[in-house]
Amino acid sequence: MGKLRALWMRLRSMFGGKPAEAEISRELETHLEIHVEDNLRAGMTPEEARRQALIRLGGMEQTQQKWRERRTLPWLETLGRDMSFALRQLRKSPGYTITAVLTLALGVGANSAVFTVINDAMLRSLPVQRPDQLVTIGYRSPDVSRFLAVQFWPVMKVLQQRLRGVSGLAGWSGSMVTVPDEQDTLRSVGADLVTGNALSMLGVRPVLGRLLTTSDDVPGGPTGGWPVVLDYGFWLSNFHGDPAVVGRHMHISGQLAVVVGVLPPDFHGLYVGETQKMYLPLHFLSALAASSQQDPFLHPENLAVLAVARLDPGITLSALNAGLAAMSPSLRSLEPQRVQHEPEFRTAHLAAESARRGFSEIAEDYARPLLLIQSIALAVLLLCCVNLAGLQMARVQARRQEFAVRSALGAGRGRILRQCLVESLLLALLGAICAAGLAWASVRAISGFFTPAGSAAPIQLQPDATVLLITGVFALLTALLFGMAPAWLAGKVSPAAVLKNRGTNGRHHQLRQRIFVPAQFAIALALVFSSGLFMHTLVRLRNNIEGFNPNHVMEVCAQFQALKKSPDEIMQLFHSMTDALRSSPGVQAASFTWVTPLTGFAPRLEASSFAHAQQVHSITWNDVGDGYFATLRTRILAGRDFTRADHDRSTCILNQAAAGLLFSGAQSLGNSIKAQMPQQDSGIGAFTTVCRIVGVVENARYSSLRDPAPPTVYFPASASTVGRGSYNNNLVFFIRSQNARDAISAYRAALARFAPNTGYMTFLPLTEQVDQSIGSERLIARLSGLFAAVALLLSGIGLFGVLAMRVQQRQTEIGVRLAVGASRARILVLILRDAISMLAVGTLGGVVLIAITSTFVRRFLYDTSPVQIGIVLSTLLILTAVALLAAMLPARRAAAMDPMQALRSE
Amino acid sequence: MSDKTDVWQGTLALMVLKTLETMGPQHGYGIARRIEQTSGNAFLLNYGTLYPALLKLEQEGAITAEWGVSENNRKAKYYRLTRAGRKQVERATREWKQATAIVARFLEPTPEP
Repeated sequence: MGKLRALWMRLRSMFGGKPAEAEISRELETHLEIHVEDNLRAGMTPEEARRQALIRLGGMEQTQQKWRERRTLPWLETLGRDMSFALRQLRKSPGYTITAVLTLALGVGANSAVFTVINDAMLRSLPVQRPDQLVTIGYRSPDVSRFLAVQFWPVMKVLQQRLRGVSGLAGWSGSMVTVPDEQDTLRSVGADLVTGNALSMLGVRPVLGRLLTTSDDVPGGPTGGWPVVLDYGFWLSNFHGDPAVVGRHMHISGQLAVVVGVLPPDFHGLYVGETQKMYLPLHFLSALAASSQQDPFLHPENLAVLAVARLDPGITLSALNAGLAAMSPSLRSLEPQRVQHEPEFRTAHLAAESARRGFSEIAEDYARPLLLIQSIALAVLLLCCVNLAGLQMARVQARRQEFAVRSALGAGRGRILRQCLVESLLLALLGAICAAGLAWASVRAISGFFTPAGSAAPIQLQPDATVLLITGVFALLTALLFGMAPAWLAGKVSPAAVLKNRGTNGRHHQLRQRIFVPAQFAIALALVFSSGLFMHTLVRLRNNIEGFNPNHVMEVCAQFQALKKSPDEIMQLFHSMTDALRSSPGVQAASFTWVTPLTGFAPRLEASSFAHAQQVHSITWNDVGDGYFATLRTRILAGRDFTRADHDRSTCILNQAAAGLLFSGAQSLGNSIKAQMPQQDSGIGAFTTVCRIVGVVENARYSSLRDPAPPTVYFPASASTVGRGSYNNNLVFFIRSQNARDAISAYRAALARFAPNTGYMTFLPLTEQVDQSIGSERLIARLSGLFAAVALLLSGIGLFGVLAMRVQQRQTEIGVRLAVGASRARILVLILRDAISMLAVGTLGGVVLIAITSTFVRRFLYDTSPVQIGIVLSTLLILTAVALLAAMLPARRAAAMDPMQALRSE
Repeated sequence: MSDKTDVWQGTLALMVLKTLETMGPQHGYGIARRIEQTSGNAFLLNYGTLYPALLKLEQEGAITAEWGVSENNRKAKYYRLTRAGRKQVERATREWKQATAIVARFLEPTPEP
């Protein structure tokens, strides 16, 4: 207790010092006077009395000093002095300060940004209670590497009763619903449809109202309307954060609903990066169904949900898995018939996996590219550290005199060390602040690359306090790394030698020349070369758009499943809309399709020609409207496009690959094929058809730009396409127009005329969808290019610094050379030779680096062997150019030296 | 090295407090003289070390100081015990006596069975 009080008193005493000084002097004077009196009484002479008193006291100045040290916190005072000194020094050399801070900001900022993305997308736990207890119960099969996070409703019901070891088993499904926005226009938004216990088992606390309960999840909904819980962001945007929102009614897809609660701002559902706007009871699926046929609760074998539960305390995941595997055989019969024959499910058994981090598409698809980017960012950070160490060393050299004087005046080595360290830390602090700002801004930019193709909603990654924490840690480590060594060297300076101007700095300087600068160039070389390869890959992929022209095409998804119309009526609607679009001003062509290119969705069926009926091939297929190929500018090689007359699957069009596959070179036009589609889970009904080929079109890239166009058969879109009415059967309009605005207004007009009560999603230019499908390649190409540029800049600066110092040092030598008759050009060459030699060593190192990392890098390339002469040459060219540029100024200064000046400066 | 100084400072602090308890309010010189006498001139070679110790005790709240007038009409700074200081002395004395008792038992020759 006393200690704390003492500390507080000492802290307080640091501010306001003069009266106390007077007190101690006074007190000590009095002490001496009294002592002298005693001594006089004892019989000493006045001088002797005074002398003895002083001796016994032990020295006025020492006592006062000890007292002063006790009064305040000396180390804190020293720190404060060091800091203000460091600040002054930094201000006096702005070039050094700005270079160091910027270097630090770049290196640390880049790493913080990338790591935040990784943390947010892949590592962070869900913001719920005890996320480590969450598991999802799905299927695992030895044939399929991926865990299938899906559960069938009949199985789920049994699990709810019989499964031990978990509690709160809940099911999650989702759908698009329509809600009116502020202007009463219907908008399609995403909603999660969940069992009654789903939100409460997660342990989230609503900020307003309550969560859903099991009594909400009943057929038809409770009286008073369907209870709905709102997402926080949705509450802010659609309801303006109205605190009285609980109890308000709203219409969701035409159904009466009542708001019962609002979720906290950090909860975004189970899917990382996607925010559903609202949460409704699972039975709402029945309300969304267009007919009783599609009602999943009347046909539970069609209902599949995401099953989430909480592990009981003491139960491990492996124990649960064992229990599930044991239960699996007896539950097989409950799985839907069609599923049991699917290749993925044939050998599958029930299994559980941790759901701690939620479900993230980013984690699955982008894990490797993100790690690549992180490695590059770390390489850049290393470069920054090397640069900073070099800068610091040069600075220490420049301040040799100062350190020598201070040392001679009595400063201990530790003192000088501490002062240097404080300066490094101050730089680190300034750099960290800039880095944090940079990281904050970059995280948003980076997350833009992760939008999955065909989705209009960008993945939201939130930069948060984690960014700052990570930045701080990085900055601290960097500061210690580059601050320690030079600081230690600074303390080693021998004052006498330096003051006599004979101190050698050759050793440190050679370190910079032999190792630092070449190392920087090595890293820069590797980065420039790799980014060249990545950019090359991107260009090749972009040019891979085979078989269609995405420019000037607008894509918009129709939401007609909410209209309770028969399939024929919906088909008629599509036709009317297409006609209206085609006659709108500015629209060159319009059509609609079921599968959009490059989203990765590629349904398959089994087809065979009658000539070779035993050879059954699995090919992809699509349902398209009339005029589809004209709209996308896919060339028709033979026959014709679909017309309105084609209204069912009795006619079809093959692409070139399919024609070749099924008819092996013979004429396909006019012949027929047999196509069989087995029942599948994703809402696609089974069919078997014999269709006559009326056209052959060129191959078009289908599910991705990397894979070659697969053999495909196209059917005319018909009532059976929209038959099941679920979201999966929505067709997408393609509108070709010179101007995007024309397409948008044409669609809006047509929609208002023919289907005024449907919501519409956002418009997506097809070029953007193409870009989204190569999101990771774009990310890698852009970021690696950026980092390569930074690396080049830093290497150039490093080279410049070293050469400038070198010229300074060799002043005498150059002066002598000039005086003896060397031409200026020779001096130039002399300096440039230094630069080239460092570059050469660096290039060697860079080649080694590339060789080491080539297997890793190769995985990200497309159709590119790593040895591309063009890229190799341009890399070397760029590096040489940068080196020469950096060397120019010092070289010219050397050549322009006045020999008399140079010799005199000795 | 620091252990020795800590112990030294602790002992000095205790002696100062004890002195003030016995003598009542006293100025720095008086405390120093008294400690010297009590310890038989074997302690406190350096009067100067007293003043930082006094400051420390003052900061910890065991003693307070105020300016007063000495015997010879000099202005001197007088220190006296606070209540907390008094308690500290009592506790320290008790602990010290216990410690010495235990050590004494160790050092006494134990009778052979």
